[in-house]
Formats: sequence, C-alpha cells, structure tokens
Amino acid sequence: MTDGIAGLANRFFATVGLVEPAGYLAIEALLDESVQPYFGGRGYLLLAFSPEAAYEHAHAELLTYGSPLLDVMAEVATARGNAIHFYLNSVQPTTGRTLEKVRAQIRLPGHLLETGEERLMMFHHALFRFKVSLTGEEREELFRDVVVDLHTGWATLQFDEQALRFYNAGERAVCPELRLGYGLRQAYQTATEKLGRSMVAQVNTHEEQIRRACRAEQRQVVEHYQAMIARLEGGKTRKGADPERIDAKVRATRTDQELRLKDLERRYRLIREITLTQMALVSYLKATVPLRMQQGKEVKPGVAIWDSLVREGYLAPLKQ
Amino acid sequence: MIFPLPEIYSLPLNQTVIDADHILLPLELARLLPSQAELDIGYAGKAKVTRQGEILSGKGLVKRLSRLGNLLQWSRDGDRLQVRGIVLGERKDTTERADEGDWVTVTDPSLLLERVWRGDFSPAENFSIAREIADLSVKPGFDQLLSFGVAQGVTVYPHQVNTVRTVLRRMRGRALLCDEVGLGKTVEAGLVMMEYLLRGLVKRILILTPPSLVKQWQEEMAQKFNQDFVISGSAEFAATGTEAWSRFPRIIASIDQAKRGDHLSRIKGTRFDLVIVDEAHRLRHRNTEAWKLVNELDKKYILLLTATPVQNDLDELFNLITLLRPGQLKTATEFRKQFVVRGDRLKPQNVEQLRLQVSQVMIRNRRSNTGILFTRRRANLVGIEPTHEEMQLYQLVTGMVRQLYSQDQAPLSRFTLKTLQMELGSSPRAVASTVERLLQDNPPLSPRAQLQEILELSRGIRYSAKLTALQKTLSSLRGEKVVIFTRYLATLHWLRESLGDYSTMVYHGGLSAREKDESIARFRTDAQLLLSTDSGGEGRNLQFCHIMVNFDLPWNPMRIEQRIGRLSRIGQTRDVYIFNLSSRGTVEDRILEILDRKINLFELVVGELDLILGRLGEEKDLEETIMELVGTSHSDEELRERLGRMGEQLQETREQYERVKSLDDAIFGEVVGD
Repeated sequence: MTDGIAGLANRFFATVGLVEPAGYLAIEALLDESVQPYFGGRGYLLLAFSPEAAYEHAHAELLTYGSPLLDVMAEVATARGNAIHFYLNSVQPTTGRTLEKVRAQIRLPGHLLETGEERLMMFHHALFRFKVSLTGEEREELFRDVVVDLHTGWATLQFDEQALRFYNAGERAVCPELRLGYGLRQAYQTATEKLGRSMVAQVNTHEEQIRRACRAEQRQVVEHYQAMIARLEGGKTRKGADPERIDAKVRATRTDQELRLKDLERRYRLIREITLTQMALVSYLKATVPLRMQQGKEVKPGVAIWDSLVREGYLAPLKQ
Repeated sequence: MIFPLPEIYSLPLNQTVIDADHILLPLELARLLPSQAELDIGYAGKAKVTRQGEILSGKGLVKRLSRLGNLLQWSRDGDRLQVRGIVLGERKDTTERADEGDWVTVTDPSLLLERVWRGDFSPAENFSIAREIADLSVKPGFDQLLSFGVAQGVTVYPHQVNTVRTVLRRMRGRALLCDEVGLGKTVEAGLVMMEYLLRGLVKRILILTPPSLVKQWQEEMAQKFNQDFVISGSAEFAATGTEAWSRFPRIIASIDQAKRGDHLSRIKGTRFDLVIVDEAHRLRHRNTEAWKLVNELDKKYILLLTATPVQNDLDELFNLITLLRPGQLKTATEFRKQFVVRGDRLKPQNVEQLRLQVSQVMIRNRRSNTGILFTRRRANLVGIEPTHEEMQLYQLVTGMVRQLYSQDQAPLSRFTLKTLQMELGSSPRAVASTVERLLQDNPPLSPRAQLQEILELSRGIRYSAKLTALQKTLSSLRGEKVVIFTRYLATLHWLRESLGDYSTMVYHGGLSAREKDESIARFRTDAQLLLSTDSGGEGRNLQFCHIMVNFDLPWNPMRIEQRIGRLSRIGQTRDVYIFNLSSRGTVEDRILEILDRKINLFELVVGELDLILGRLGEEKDLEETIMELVGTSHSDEELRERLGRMGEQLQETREQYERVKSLDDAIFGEVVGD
C-alpha cells in the first residue's frame, strides 16, 4: 500500500508542481500557487511514506493510508480531473447472435418478433462516479460507478472500470444512430435511483443493527430512570419527607432521562449520503438488432441491444 | 448541441448581488419569467422579480440568501421561481445533520453536469489520478483500522489493537479503560480518537485531566497523533473568554477549571463529539461537581481512563459506569443488592456476574495477558563524601539562597536561586557558568560580593569526588554501554572533557535533528557512553542500553521517571540498572532517600508515579515544594525534618495506592477486549 501511495503521490504532485526525491521513501514537492490554498497556503511539502522515513526526516509529514493529507490530495485531484470523454476503441463487439444473447436475459412471452439486420452502433453514456457514505456509529465509504445509456436510459452498475484504460480521447463523436433521448440531469436522476436500489440490502443491515442496539440502550435508560423516580416518589410517604424537595428531584431525574434519550437518538441514526465526484461521457460500440414486436394486435418497433462490455442485453422502444 | 440544456441554473451568490437588498437574476432565466413572478426563497421568505430580472425585496435579502449557501441554484416551476442554496467548498458537517429517510446529496451535481454538457473536459491523466487517489482515501468500516498508520513514534501492541476494536465496535465509543499502569491507556484513547477523526465522525473533542497532566496530554496528542489541542488555561483560550469552549474544536482542560462558575454553564451548553477523562477515578462520587459536570456534558462518545476504578467503595464503579451507560448496572439499590456483600461496601459478591456486566463497557488489560516482556529496574545508590572545598561551596550557595529567598524584592529572582541550588547538586562547573552570567548583568553590591566569592570557589575546585565516583562506577561496568544523565549543559561539557578516556557521544536540546540521530546511531554502534541532558530525547529509542547513571538528580520525580523511561520501556530485554550519584549531606541526598526509600521510585512500574503524585494534591509540583522548604528552612536540621514529613506523606500515599491496586485486581482481574 505504501509503495502505491508513494508512486501515486509522485504522479499527483508532478501534475500540480515539482517533485524531487528526498531520500528513502520521502519526497519534496513544490506546489503551484493555484493549489496552495488546499494545503493550508503551503508551497512546499516534505512527505514521508513510512513512520521510519518520517522519523528520519524530522519535519516530514507522514503520508500513508488514512492520512488527512490524502483527503486533501483527493479533493484537489477531483477538482482537477472530474470530467472527461472516453471513446473506448477497444470495445469491438461481434454480430451474429445478438438477439439470441439478449433473449437469454429478457423474456418476451407471447410476442412475435420480426428482426432486421444486425449492426454495430456507437452509443453514448454518462458515467457517474459516486462516493457513498453510510454514517451511523461508524462511517463506511465506497465508490460506485453507474453508467447510463443516454439514448435509452438503461443503467448499469456493472461497468468495468478497467475498460477506461483503453480509450482514445482524441476522436470526435460520430452521429449516433439512435436519438439521444436522455438529458444529463435525467441520467443523473436515473443513476441515483439505480444506486439507491443497489444499496438497499446494505442499508437495511446497518439500520437493523443500529435499531437493535438503540432499543437495548433505550430500554436500559428508561428502566434505570423509572426505578429512580419510583424510589423518589416512594420516599414521600416517609415520616418527615419534604414533598416539594422530592418533586424537584423527580423533575431533575426526568430531565436527565430526556437528555439521555435525546443523546441516544442522536447517536443511533444512519445518514446515507451520496456525492457525485466524477463524470465521464463514455462512447463505445454495441451490437443492435431492429425489431418489430407484435403482441396481439399491437405492434411496437424497437431495438435489441447487446452491451459486450457488461455482457448485458436490453430492449429499447423506437418512436414510430 | 448534442445534449439538452439543463433545467437548472447555478451561479455564485457574489456574482448576482448588486447591493444588500438587490439581486440580478441570470438573464436567460429572467427572459423566461413573466413580470412580477414570485420568488420562493424557501425559509428565507418570498420576493418579487421585475421585468429586467431584478429581485427587489425588503432589507436583508442578500443576508437571507447567503444563509442558504454560497451558490444559489435557480429553477423555474411554471410562473414560480425557486431558489436553493448549496454550500460549496466545504463539506457539510454530517455529525450535526438531522436524520433523513432518503439519500442526502452532499454536493450539488449541477456544476459538473454543466461542465460535461459544455464539453469542458479534464486531461485524462488528471482524471485517472483523481480516481486512484479517491480509492485510497476512501474510509472503510472499523474492520480496518486506520490510526496505526498515522500515529508517529508509537509501537502499537496487540492488546491495544483489541482494545481499540472493542471500544469502537462493541462498546460503541463509550468505554472505561482500566489497563494496569504502563500498558498505554493514553495511546489507546488516542488511537480511538484518531479512528473517529479520520472518518469524520468526530470534530469537537474535550479532554479533561488533572491540572498536572494537562501539558503532558497536549504534548502527547501533538507528538504522537499530530493533533493540536488548546489548553483551557492558555492565554489564547483566556483571551477568547467563555466563548472559547465552543470556538476551539479541540480542548484540553483541567476538570477543576471546567467545573468553575461561568465556565460551567458554557461547557454544558457546548456539544462535544468525544470526551476523554483521564484519571477518571476522580469522578467516583455521584454528588461531586466533577461527576455532575461529566454527566451533563452533551457528548456523543466518552472514554474514561483510570487504572483504579474502585478505591473505597463499590458504588464508585456504579457511578463511573452510569456516566457511560445509565442502567447497565440497573439502579444503585439493585446494584448493591446484587453485587455488594451486605455490611461491607468493598466486598463484591456474584463476582463473575459483575465482571460480565462490567465487561460490556470496561476493558482492563493486565501485564500478564499482554504477552509483552517487562524487565525490572534495579537502583544502586553511590554515596559520595564531598571534599572540603565542595562542602564549602555548598554551604556558601545554600546560605545565600536562604538569605535571599524570603526577601521582598530580592536582587535575585526565586527562579535564579532555585537554579543555583539545583546546579550545586550537579557540578561546580554548572554553578560557575550561571554565576558568570549573573555577574555580567552587574547585580547590586550585596549579592555581587557573594557571587564573586562563589565564582572563585567553584572555579578553584580541581578535584571532584563525584567525578571520581563516576569513573569508578564506569570502570566496574567493564565496557558496558552507559547513558549518563545530567540536567545542565555546563556539566555535560565538563564531563565530556573529564571522560576523555572513553568513547563518548553527547545528546542535548541544542543539537539539530540530524546531529541527534547521528549521536544515537554512533552510541548504538561504536561509543560506550552517551552524555545526555533531559531535553528533547523523549522519543528516542535507547532500549539497546540497560545501564544509566543519574549524575545529578532532578527534584521533580517525573523527570527522573522520564529519564528511566528512555531505557526501561516496552522493548527492553534486560533488567535496567540505575546508578544514582549523591553527595552526602546535600538536599539531593535527602530527596533521593525519600524517593528511593519512601516511594521506591526507581523500581516503580512506568506510570505508577503519576498515580502516587496525583494523590498528593494539585497546587504545586514537587520541585516547587522542595525549593520552598530549602528556601524557608533556617537550618539543615529544620530542612531535614520538613523533608522527612514530606517523605512520610509520600509513603502514606504510596501505601494507599498499593491497597487500591490490590483491591481492583481482586475485583476485576482482567477484563479484556474482543
């Protein structure tokens, strides 16, 4: 992990200034003015990538997994690299069995299908990279890529990020055969919904754990304070008891109980957050087959699409 | 244009403001609006839009809008216009956010959507680096601990890893940490704190300690965890007034200060995400201000640290646990009925059941269950008969100190007098060095003559009985590596000159980091002796050496403990031998007697001294108390008698500590983490 961070830090600081090695597992970085505010106004950083290296360099800042500096770097890097257009020229689907592959995944009972000629077509997608945070008693973060087909609204979480390694960003777009029916905002909406649905099980598990723990503590608190109040109230019947004083104590105990319960409420809650951190337009070829789908008297034109990257088929209606 | 125009417009607030009550809408949006459209500013109110796209409103429009955020997002809904505020540039404080049923979008996506729509793309390398760094910065659940990587100069032991995991997971950040002394409770608390901080679960932290430990906590948090805390007694804090409690995010306070008058109401009204209370046995009584204060603090997580949770009464345990989790041990009456033998408030019954209940919130690691090798410390007193000249110098300086100490407006400060008196216990060279400096300042006639005499006498001493004793001690050690500690630089240089036959390295606060490293490295490999002052060496690893000499003795036992701690710490594989050089009849000789015989300082376990001294009271540290006795005693006999009384008190405190320790061992045994 350390080597990974060291290599990455070298690449990162080279994009925002100058980097020089400063001994074993340590670097010096001179920062461009534009990014200095992120680093507390500093223009120079001495970074060590292991505690031993930090010890060797008395003024070095330790940069390792978990370091707050890594968060700052992530913020700067994201601000400088959050939008791109990829043409994935490595994706070269084959034709011939497109409808067969789609129908293996999608059932169309009672439909009569009439097919046209299979073709490869360029599709444009919006890739949304979300940071997902579940914050309850602990905080768990993860990244999720959701890709939305801007022609049909089809969305997937199965996009292989490795595909982005083989691309050609210089080519310009060819005109898509399908009309772009989806706006970016609509795609964003679709992506967040898809993401939310995919997280349901995880969220439910967290919530159940939290609810169970909260209930147990609430029960303890209530029992504890109710027993105290009962004991205080019982004291009223004692000879020489001062009921006003006892009432005041009961009130104070109730206030304390409220405070504790409020405290529990605040501690035991799950906050679900998503942040869009990066976005890419991703264009690549897919195999398509025009269809006429007839069910009873109704005839609908459509297209069957096979996405070889995520190995998923889907159908899209065509406007008549 | 491939992509449709977004329906939403975003503009920074400061680009739309004309003046405080007057705002201009984005033109393309204004064109779409009928005149006199109504603007809905959410909870900030409503306003009218003119034909030119200007919004006119009553006073404070901009202020009201700025409450929504620094980026305003306008959207059209038929004839109505809606505005939503977004905070850009800083992450929203999730710990303060109210719970919401659905996903919360932390930042508004509009800007990024617009950027993509405009085709304003980043270089591919930047995009790829951003993805990789983001992947590394992602915060996992507590299965994977992050703090070990960021703690500096800290060796984390398995029992500490278990403790941290247990506190985070099973105890949900509310725990009583009762490890035996020397097993690193502070480090455990620091690691838990870092786990929360690194995940953004904690922002505001309050550490409550006894006054004598405030500074130590501040240093440890800075050195080990790179966290800056402000001390509640500092000038910076005082200058901010009572607001300081809510203004500073990380505060270390003495509990005595926190519970005082105006501070109390402020501190109670402030929300803290994490509260750490050191020496938490001070909260054992439910009716004390300290207990009430901690009970009423608005806090999310709380860690109570003590090696001795029960001191006089099992109710103390109940009170501590109630601070963490009320009801865990039911009510006080039920607790007593179930777990305390009737008629003996210190004797537990149903011990196994009690341990089970307590283990839900308490961790107590014992040396025996850590698997760490702890070696012994062995102290040796090297008594020295001072020469006639040395004794003469001693009498002269002590006489002057006594004479001037109680004088109003004395020509020499009490600090200077204390320094001279302490240097006297070190070497004539140290005394001479200070006196030379004092004479350069041209002091008044009265001490000048005395100082002159002291200078001549100290310079004239050619034979040092202490140095001879040191040389004899070293030759008896037959080439073993030895660290020789002295308080004073002048003594260190003199010793280096005088020990020319030995290969010697020096180590003091005046060296650069590189020189310090080199010095330690050469001592490790080549040199036999390391001459070291007390300053600047706490973090350096000297466990490869197991013999030390106290050439002079600090009056503050904590400093002695720190010296010993540089050799005798986890990782030392041999017993540590401590040679204390002491000239008979001097103040140091009596202090040594007290520390060695009365509290057995040199053989205490690391951390126990804190507990013993902590029981003495808080007003002054021992060094100040001793100087007060030296300066105000009229004769050596009187001083001996007064120091003797202090020794009795220390002995009593130590015995009390031993009783409590045995009691806690009997009740809890070990209650370990997962």
